[in-house]
Amino acid sequence: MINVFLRELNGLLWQFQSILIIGLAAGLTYLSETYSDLYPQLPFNGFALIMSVFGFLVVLTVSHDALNSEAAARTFRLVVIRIPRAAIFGGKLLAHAGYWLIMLIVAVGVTGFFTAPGLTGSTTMHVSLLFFSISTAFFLSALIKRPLTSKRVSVLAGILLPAAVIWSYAADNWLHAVSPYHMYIYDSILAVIIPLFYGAVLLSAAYVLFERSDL
Amino acid sequence: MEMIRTEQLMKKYQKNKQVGPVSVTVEEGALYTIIGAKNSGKSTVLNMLADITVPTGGDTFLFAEKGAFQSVKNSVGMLPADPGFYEDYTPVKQLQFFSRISGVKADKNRIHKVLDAVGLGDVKKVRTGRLLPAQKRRLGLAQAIIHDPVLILLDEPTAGLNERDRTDVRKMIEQWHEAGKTIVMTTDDLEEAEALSTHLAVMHEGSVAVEGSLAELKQRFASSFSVKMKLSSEMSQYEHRKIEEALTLLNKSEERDGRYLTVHVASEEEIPKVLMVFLSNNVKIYEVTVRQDSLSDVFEGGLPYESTDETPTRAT
Repeated sequence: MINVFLRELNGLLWQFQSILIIGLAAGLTYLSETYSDLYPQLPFNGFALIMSVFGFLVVLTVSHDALNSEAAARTFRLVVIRIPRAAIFGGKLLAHAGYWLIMLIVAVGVTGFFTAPGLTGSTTMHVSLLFFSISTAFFLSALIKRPLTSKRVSVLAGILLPAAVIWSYAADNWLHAVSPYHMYIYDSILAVIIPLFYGAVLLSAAYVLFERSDL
Repeated sequence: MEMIRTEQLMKKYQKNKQVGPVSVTVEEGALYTIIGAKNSGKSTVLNMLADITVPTGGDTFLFAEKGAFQSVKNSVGMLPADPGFYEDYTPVKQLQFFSRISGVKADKNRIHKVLDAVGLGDVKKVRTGRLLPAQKRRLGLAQAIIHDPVLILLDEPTAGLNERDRTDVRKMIEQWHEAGKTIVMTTDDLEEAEALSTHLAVMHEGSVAVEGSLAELKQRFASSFSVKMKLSSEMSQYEHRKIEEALTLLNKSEERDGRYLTVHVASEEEIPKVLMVFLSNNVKIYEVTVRQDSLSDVFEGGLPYESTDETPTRAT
């Protein structure tokens, strides 16, 4: 598992996208904080807003092919003959979780340096949303065999979910209350259980799909 | 010792396509070849053994343990059909990675030795993405043996290679077998299978049609002989016709190629009878070659798919 983890993490970290993600998070947080007066109807702003609107989308866009790209490239074949599928799944999951945690820590650090008041939402909330986002990415990656298709579905899902929650909040119906964004909307630390629950369900489903898939 | 046993191993796909049920046994030290046409299911069987394809039914016993693949992975090496490599790695790094995840710390000497053995000594530091397909196949063989497994699974190891590479790969397989490895391989080349194997399983439309040791199968299907004779260049039409008539009476088929005439006989005892036909007709024979037919000769018109109890039909 450790070798799969190290290779995957190394591959993720040494990409230009890492710098782009951190820059984007810090820049957008700064803009959100600067122009927050223009959107008083939003329940929250700053880093929490950026995480809600773009976090899910960015995680899905980067991690959508965590499992299916190696299956499509047939590199998994040379790995699965050596180690259990659980070790492959675990190594990949740890690598993506580790990567996004590093991104989060650096983004929070950079954001805090430029605009300390922008650091809205607690780290627990951000981590639980990350867990939900990574789990969704793994689920889509295990469900959809072709990386190009999973990329399209991920982009769509990454746009539709935040949009649906914003619409639900504006329309004042129940959807936003059961969404992973409840914790940000109502600033409720207890509500981190919602994304954690969804994340656990999706991750379990991803694992079952991966165990049953031909590589 | 029993290295592999499958019991009713099966893979069901959509649209009623199915491989299996397959029940085969591979003993220690065997070179067991699964042969069949394209899409006959031979690769699926190998992939199910190696955990690449998930079976939908049946059981696999490896080293006499049921479903024990996870615990015995370090003792198994495999070359899958068309495997993907990490294109950014060199062959050396590739083998370092695969030996590490196999739980074996292969030192540099071992890695270089294996790469030299498979003929990749010159491209050790070239990125895998830049290797030729045949070189990748050789790298596939290298990763299959880097952790010195006792059981090696090879899915079409010579497919798509030129004659020189095929010969090299066959030599490697023979060397590993001579070194005591148990090898299970697939191929669609009967000649190759017959040259290398100790045991054969013929697959057709997802099922094993015929299985057994090479000796058993030869006894069952290829007990016939070919008697090739070099005859006089001055044979008259009359002599030719008389020979043809005599062979027809003996119910023997013949093939003519210039001065050479080949007669197929069903058993060794019939060889003198055939020669007597020529001698009694005063036909001069300048050369006689007797050869036991190979499986390739017998099945040149197709593998024995119909039934495990039927012998292929061929006029002798």
